Amino acid sequence: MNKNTITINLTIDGTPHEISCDPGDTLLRVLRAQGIWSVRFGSHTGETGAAAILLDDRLVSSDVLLAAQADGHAITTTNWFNLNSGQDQLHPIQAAFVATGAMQSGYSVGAMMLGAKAMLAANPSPTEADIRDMLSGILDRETAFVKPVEAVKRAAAMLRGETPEPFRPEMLSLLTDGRNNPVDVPADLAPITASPAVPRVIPSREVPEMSVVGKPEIKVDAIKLVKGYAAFADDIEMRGMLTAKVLRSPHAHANILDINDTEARALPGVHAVLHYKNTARIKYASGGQSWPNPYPWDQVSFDNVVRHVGDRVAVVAADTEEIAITALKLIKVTYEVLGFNLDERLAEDPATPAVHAEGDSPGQEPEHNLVHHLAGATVHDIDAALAASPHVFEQTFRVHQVQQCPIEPHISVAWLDEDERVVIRTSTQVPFHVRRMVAPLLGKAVRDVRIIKPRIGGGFGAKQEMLIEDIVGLLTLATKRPVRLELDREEEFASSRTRHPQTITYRTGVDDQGMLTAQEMRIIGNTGPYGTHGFTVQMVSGLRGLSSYNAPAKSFDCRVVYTNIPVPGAYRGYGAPQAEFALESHMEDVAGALGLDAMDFKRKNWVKIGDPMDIAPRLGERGVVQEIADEDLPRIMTSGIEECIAQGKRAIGWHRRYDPTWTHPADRPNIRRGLGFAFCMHGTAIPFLDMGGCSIKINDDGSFNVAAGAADLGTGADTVLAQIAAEVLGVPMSDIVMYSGDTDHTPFDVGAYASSTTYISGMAVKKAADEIRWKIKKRAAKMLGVDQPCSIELHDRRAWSPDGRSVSLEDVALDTLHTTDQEQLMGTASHVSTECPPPFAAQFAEIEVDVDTGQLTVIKLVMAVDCGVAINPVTASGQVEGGMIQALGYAHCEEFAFDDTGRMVNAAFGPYKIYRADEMPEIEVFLVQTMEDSGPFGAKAVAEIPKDGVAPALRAAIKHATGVAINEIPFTPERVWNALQAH
Amino acid sequence: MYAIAAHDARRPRESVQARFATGTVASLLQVRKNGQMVLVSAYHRPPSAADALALLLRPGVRSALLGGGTTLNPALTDTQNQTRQPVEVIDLQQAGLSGIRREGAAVIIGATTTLQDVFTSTDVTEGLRELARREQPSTLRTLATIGGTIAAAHPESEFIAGLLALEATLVLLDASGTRSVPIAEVLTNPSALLASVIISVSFPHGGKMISARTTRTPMDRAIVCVVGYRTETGGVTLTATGIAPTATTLIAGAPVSPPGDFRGSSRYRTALLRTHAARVAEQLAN
Repeated sequence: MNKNTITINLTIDGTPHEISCDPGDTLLRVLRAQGIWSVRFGSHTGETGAAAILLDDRLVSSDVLLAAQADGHAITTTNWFNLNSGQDQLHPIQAAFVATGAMQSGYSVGAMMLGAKAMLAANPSPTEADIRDMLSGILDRETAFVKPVEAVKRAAAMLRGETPEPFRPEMLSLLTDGRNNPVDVPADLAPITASPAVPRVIPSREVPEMSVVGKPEIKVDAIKLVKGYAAFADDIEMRGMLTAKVLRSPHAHANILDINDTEARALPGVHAVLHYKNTARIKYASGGQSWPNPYPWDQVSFDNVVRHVGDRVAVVAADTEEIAITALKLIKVTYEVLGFNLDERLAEDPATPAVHAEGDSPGQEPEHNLVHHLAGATVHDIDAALAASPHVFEQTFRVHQVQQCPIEPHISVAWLDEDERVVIRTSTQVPFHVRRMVAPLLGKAVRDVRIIKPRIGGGFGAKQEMLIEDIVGLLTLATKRPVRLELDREEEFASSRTRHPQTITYRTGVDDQGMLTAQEMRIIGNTGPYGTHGFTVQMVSGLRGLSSYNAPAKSFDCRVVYTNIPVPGAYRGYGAPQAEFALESHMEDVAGALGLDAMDFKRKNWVKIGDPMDIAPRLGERGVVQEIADEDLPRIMTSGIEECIAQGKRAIGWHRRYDPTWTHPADRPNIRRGLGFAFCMHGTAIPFLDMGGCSIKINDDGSFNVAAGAADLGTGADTVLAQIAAEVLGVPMSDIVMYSGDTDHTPFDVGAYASSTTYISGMAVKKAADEIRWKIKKRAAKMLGVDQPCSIELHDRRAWSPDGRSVSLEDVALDTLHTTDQEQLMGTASHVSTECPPPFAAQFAEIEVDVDTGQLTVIKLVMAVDCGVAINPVTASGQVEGGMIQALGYAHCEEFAFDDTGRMVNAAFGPYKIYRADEMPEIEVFLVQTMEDSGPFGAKAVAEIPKDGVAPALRAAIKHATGVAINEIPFTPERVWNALQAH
Repeated sequence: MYAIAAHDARRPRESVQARFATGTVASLLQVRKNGQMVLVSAYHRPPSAADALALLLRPGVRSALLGGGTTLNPALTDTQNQTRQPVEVIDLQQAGLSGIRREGAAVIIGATTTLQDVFTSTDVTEGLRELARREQPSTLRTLATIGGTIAAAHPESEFIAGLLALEATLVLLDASGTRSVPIAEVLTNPSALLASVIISVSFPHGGKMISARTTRTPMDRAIVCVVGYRTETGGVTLTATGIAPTATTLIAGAPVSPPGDFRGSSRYRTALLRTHAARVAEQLAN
């Protein structure tokens, strides 16, 4: 496009380069065009830091730098570390990030390491504040910076010539009797001095000693991540690849009367323009869920109605991004603007315009914007129980819209392979669901579509969706060329997925002994203009909102309604954070009204080992079961909640709650301090539905390929699955080659959601490993002349007979593959659970409130979680750290704000505020072990429960500090101030 | 009770855009505020401020001065629904405008000095150093320049409020030579920068600077921030962000009517201003 090409000279990692570029090219673009994939896109305004490099040893965001500005300067990228470390060795900074597990997706780990390099060169002994300031420009939605800060400290020590202690969990003694009885935690218990990055593990006597499971093994993808290799969806270049850009609706609700694309098509370099007039109208639901997708199927690839600002109107594929953007401006769209509504409470008002004119779901009332109404999922007679209760409390809460905000936006690349099959390399959590869902939209059979999930830069539910794969697929079919589409940050906010806003009302009956007699929950769930996940998220809200506490009678009523907000979908926690904010806050206030201690009141009523989970069978994804015999109800089999509470109380200094000199600091008259607690309970996978598959084969050298359908979105799933396989097969992690998330080359898996991967996919891996293990034992028995294969043990890469003789697994492999009765030893298995064992957690928060301004400052968050056996305590604690900070954003500062046209006014980081490294509260995580027999090696879920407790714990702490109870989140300064004014 | 200074703080943004259409010289401010995707048609790196000015003043050529680029470049490369107007970029990195020095009782900071260098300078009043740190995170603070920050004039810039409290002076180079302009004048009338190059920013050495603010999170841009500066001789100036479209100097006695947004209503901002002004005044007095 631009004829003014310039030549610049860059020294990149020590090597001079002469590069031709456009004067308007960013340095990010130029570096990636050079194949330097470790410099990554997060936004074009520089605030994510994913694109940070060193420019003459200064850490700078290359996405806001013109390449021309760097002319004549030295640039350092992640590859510098590879060039400046010994053969087969990592640079100390890389090694420190690997050793501490200081990355989840690792999307921005290169930027962090480069920042560390620059800082340590100038300052070999930085303070923690220095480190946090250095990291302040690199946003990370995953680690809460706990482990990256530790990594930089270790790297500093290593570069000073010191040898830091190995990074391993701190094993703590039980504070309780391990039988789930409450204890008083003395105020003078010695504090734990280990770095907060070190996971605190409280072992259970019931958990056997293991060699790989339970150990802080390094992530299987860590090396490629710290080396900055081409691992992510966008790290690919293909001949003739086109760039796609989407024209998006400026209106919250409008009919498209006409689209004229003549001028856009005529623009040189434009290869396709798609919109409602030239695309098949095939109805679908975009949520990545098991077949058949729950109703409504209310989307089409391109519609003649737009239902939110940012909705799809048309798409262009062109030779360059610039041409595509220019072409978008040449598309003439004639809109008929319609009325719109953003508020779920007004959705069913007769005066509110209908978002969908046509009904898509059984039972749907499109003219009233009612997508689903679930009335009367009940346990016993709620009205009678409430009528008979001496105390009845009713309270309404409002929760708002927030976004997952993966730093890697949605990115998909499609092409036709040599068999003319459509291949889509995409940043998704659900490759198999995407394949099944996108195929009909492309007019293809499932067999003619392949989905590849490479490393992905965070998902948190936003990528449990078939969001843009249909667009690149349609364009590649239209053009016969590879097509790439990457959302920019504003599109990510406006057009990807978000958390459902809800209005939640509780009605609770209590008897004179402080026991619940009845609990009713009513929800109006705001599903925006499309119903993706709308039904199931609200079901989970009901499940979580009515499972934590025993009540003889329960009832759930839920209305899911259409509005014109950007589309809600799956977000880590999936309805639970909404419900548990309301539930825990309500229970806190009921206790207060009855004059009871909130924790005691909750403890009296919360579910304990052996208690039935009576609402669960009535709120399944597959619908409602009204009648179920008590003996058939699922029950709580493990709970470590009392140990969690004891550890959490010690860590947060709970005794200070009763000390007025602490709550009212004499030297700071405008400050009130508070401590809050929330009881958290989550689920582990969806019983009878979530399925994972795995196959394992042995190689000539006695190593194993493990192919799992599971989708590691940065969580460490591949690592945990490899640990499970290694434990069963008696080999170190280095003998396991993991491959996952490719629909052509791995067995089926539902994907990464519902806290299912470790529990479901992990069990599939364990079963497949058990199968090949048995085959190895049989072969080894033959080789060793042992009659009983079951007497053979596998450990230390060998198969051992009871008399101490052994053969190596390499010998076994060579024998089976080349010598005797040749066969490929394999194990293949899948797993579905009939159980959904809940993890439990105690969430604590310490806060300060400025009573003159309403400003809430969060000082410390502590979560002690019973996740069964943590397969990898480092990755598990990392999940809790990152999850808690996402939950903190939900509770404290993140929100979608709209103008009076329905447009989001804060679709950028900064105005949309997520916590960064130099403003984090202190964080401390405890992993309380229990032995969950239904899970692999005792594991339950861990990734979602940290989303559940922060909002109610903050609310309780604010109430403790000020006496003010606030029924809406986030606790922004003005909201708290208004509450203080009204108090 | 404090009020904004005499200039009209509620100056509509449209006026900036309207001015843009009339000239051939596009300041960084205009490119940003106009919010248009601009095609960079040429890149210049003049060896002096005079050369930069000569490039800027070429008739018929739309051009923009570039400091670090943190504000301008996103505007240049914004892919959202913008029209395409070519602009020539004049990068000041080699114009010799970088550095911090003491001259008698004054601190003089070259226009292309980065905020990171301001943050780490021992010549700069500690309170202002902290505001420089708050202005940008690590990856942008190393790029953003003091001149560019003034020209971009983020409406809620606490750093600019700090410079305003210091009653900083800008040295500008324009067709008639160099001249000194109080920062308040530039904030009131951004067109003062239109056909000129910022050479340096100067303010008194020493004194005491205090700021108080309310934020959503500790390092967030303030909803309202009050900055106070007490000179070595005891004179006190208070400024604030979040109560008008730019940082403003507070004058005792007159009413305010801050524009509200989703982070803070007008009423709330008024209350915050009262609280923080009192806190800052009290801390400066101690």
